[in-house]
Amino acid sequence: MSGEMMTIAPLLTVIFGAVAVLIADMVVPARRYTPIAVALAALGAAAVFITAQGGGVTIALAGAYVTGPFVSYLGLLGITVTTITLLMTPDHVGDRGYPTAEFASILLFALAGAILVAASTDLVTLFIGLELLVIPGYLLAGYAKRDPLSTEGAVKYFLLGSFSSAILLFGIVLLWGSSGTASLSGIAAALASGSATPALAVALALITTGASFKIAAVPFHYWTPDAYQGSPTPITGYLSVGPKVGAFALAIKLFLVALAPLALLWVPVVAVLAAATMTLGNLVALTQLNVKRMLAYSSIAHTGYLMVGLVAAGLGEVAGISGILFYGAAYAFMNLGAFAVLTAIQGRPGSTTQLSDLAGLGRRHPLLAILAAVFLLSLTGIPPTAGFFAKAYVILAAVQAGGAAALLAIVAVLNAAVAACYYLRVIIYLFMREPAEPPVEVATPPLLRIGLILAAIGTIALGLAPTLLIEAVARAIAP
Amino acid sequence: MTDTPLSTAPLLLILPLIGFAFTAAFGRRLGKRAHIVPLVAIAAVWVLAMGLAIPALLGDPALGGEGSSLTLFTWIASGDLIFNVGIHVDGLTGALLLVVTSVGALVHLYSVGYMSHDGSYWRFFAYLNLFMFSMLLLVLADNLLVVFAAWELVGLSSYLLIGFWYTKREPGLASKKAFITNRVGDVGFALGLMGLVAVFGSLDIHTILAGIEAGALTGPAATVIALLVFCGAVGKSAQFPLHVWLPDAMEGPTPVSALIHAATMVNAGVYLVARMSPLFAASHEAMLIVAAIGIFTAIFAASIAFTQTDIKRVLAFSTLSQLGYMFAALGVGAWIPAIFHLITHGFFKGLLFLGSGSVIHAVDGEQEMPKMGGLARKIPITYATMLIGTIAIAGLPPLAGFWSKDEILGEAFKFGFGWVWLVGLLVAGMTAFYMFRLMGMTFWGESRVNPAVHVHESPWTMTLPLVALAVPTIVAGFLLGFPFADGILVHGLKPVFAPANELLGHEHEAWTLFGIDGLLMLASVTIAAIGTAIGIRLFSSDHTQLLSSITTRLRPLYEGSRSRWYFDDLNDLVFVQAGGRVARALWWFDRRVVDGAVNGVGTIASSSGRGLRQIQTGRVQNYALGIAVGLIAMVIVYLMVAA
Repeated sequence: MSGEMMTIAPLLTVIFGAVAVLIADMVVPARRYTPIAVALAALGAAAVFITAQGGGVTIALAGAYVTGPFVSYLGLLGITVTTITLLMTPDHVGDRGYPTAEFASILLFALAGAILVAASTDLVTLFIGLELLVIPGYLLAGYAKRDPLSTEGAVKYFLLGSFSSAILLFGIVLLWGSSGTASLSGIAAALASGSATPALAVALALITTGASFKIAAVPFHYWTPDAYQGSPTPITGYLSVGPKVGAFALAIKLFLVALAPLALLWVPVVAVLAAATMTLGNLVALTQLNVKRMLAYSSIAHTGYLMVGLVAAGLGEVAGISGILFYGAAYAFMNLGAFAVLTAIQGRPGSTTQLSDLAGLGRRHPLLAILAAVFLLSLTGIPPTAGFFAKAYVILAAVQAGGAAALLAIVAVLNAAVAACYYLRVIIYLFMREPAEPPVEVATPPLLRIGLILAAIGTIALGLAPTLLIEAVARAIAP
Repeated sequence: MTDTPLSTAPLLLILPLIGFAFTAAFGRRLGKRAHIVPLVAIAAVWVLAMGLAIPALLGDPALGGEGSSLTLFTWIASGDLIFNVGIHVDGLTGALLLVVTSVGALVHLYSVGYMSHDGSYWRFFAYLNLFMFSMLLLVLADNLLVVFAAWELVGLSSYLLIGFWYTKREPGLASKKAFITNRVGDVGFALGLMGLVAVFGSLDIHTILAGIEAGALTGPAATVIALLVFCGAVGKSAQFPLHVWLPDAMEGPTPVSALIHAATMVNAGVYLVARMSPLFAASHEAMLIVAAIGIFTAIFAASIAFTQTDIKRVLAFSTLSQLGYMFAALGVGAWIPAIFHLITHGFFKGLLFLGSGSVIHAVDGEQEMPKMGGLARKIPITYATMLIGTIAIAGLPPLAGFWSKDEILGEAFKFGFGWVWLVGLLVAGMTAFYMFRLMGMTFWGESRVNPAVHVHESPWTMTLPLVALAVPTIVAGFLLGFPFADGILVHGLKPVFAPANELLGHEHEAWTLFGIDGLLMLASVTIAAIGTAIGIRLFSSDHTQLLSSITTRLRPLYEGSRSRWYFDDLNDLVFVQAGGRVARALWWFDRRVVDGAVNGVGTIASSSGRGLRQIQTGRVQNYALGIAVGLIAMVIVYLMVAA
């Protein structure tokens, strides 16, 4: 295999895998697990290719696609997220009469988009990667096509998503025009020598708006509750993790590479958005009695914590980027885990995810309830779980950056305390309330069980030995 | 990892952990076969541990001397503060491994018989393996943060096992008492660790000890930190005034009393002080307090053991007393004798507890000695092995206890602690007396056993551990401690304690039979013989009249001893009654003022949340409008910032 082929091998494997899933479904139609097996095999092969690259910097596609430790890290994280999603979804959607092949294929295309975003070095590739990442999201949101709620959420997500993509694209074009190059590092060089023109200011506003929509930051978060509420539960889990982490890769590329010279302009704006995002996400989550919707709002709050890392990094604190990368991994494990638990309690099609449905789960299904408690404690940020170190690292980075970022750190800590209220309330329902009558039907098919265990291992391992990942993160951001 | 002598050491931790996880997960389904995996795991651990402990004690070039370390992984790295998880093995670790794994393996075997009728058989073995993991982690770890985690884990296992029969009231209360009392000491320990971090910026044991040797910690700071660390030891090793939990801990199953509350966990405090010996040697005052608390506990507990009638409680107070001996030895700088006594005591007290369990098993659960008597011929193996244990603890030559006890007393005298020596000598006599009282009331004289009970010897799984423990009880003292002051243990441990001895200025002197050492030995043997003689004289057959005339004449002393010198009543008065009043006042404050404020914040947060929820109308046009408005605001802001 030529060097260039080797460089793009992970991306190609994922795309071929997506096609292979569809072909396999044509050859042996209407099997629930065959497409999943093909998709998992493709993911395994992609992981092998990424590992074989060994994190070395290689260039492909005329310099538009450059791999390195950063791409390897995000690629493996994306593969992990996709794997856990593939494990927790098929039985849930299958039991409700939806096919699994399209789902697996769509998911792999989204992963290809995420890898493309991470590896891109110019605005065009970056934007194409982003669209490849989010368009599958629209499809997945409407996957339960006979459910009006799902279709409604998907349409809203699609309309608003297209709107925001247009805004982002407009900003990208203005940026290109102002700096005369599409290369991210070229833009940074041009900006470093020039001055902040009104055109650049408008470009920044458009890009900030577009990116904020993609990561679901306030006040561009409106789409999330509807899209999350309507989707089948495991897909909601994916939507709250995959596109978000991918969009943060985009934010790192745009804000911390291309727009780094303008940090003084965007840092205050992003800081204010971060504070608003955390606070609004948490306050609204506090009032939700539906656990799925509560997790949707809390994912907005987590966007806010991740933005704290962005602010710290914008102020020159490298720990900010490593904080984002660590947070991304921790968040993937604990949030997917929490949604996997919700998937398990929806054993019967048509069942809900009200807080009262979880009452007394600790007595009927102690193991599942303990796992749920682990994920919730991690989302709260209690040691020794992954969530604790994730929060600790971004907040410490903000403190080290100093100045206004330190204020933001205080806001983040206060918000973490508010978040404890609604996460721990679920634990109270799990263990201290009488079981619901009639009892909810719990179904843990083998694949879901493996997904739950993977998520739990990740959540606990990163809490007990965070340094295992910190070293990988340090390599990922090393210049 | 293959070229280090410690390549097998991680298995010491992994095997019991697997045993615990496996039994916890599948034990219920295994029923009466639940013991197989834990038993095999511990047997393998014993073999591996001997492979480390024996070379370490014999001064193997790799494991003896400075010892050998193996870093497993970095646990936490936060800036300059790095906590590694690693293993360190030297002579001291070897000594602890010897006791912990030997007694541990035998107790596992013993439990197969003792717990065979219990419905939660599997749960018992799961907890035992959890305990073994925690205890081994405690003695192997080379970082105090890991030691602290293991310290809490043994506390947890102890709590679970004391309260094993949680449906009964007393075990539940006793387990809570043990946990809470230990917590008091642990607060001190935790503060001590914070102090060490503040001074050294690390909790790596070798970094800290090297720093102390270099003189980085002296004066009042050394005293304060040493005493805070000692607080932890006082709690875990049940020294005065935190001793109250150990007698109550006897509510747990007897194998637990033997393993955790006699031979292993309660030694953790002694181990901690020995491991941190330079820290204590750096402060004269701290050493003095350790010695004073140790020797006071020794005589205080021995005086209570005089009058207790529950066979396990006598042994519990005896354990307190013997642990007091060890702390007294540490406090005078007699490090090696302290560890020597830890080893021999581990064996003979483990034996005595398992023997008492066999007695209780034989008389159908009865623990009160006035309802025993005359058992010697009916359970001969139990009797013979317990008699060996008793002679050993009484300090009569040539059994194990004589060697270690004699060394403690001898060094206390030679280092100029005459008062420690004198009290220690008295305790030696008292120990011989109350132990032969126990033997007399249980095994000699007329039988007072309920005639309905069929007295029977225990099954082989229970008697085999007794016989196996009787062997080291006879020979361990001679093997490890002869020739005097020049035995295996002295050679194995001397490098470990060299830094502390250098700080103290202790020098090694030759042992002289026809000099001071011979005289001191004669004194301790004589007083042990006197105690033994009185014990046998009073309890070999029924001297009810003589005994009651003695107790009548010494009524106040007798009542005081029986009531454990009213210490539990004092605790009740101070902490439960008076403390309860303070707590109620604080509760009122918490409910009215603190909770009021918190609830106020919560109410404000939820009502503002409800307000914010109104934004979410569900209409896509509104959302698009919102985005557009947000975009316009963004453009304005950026233009203003840029300008």
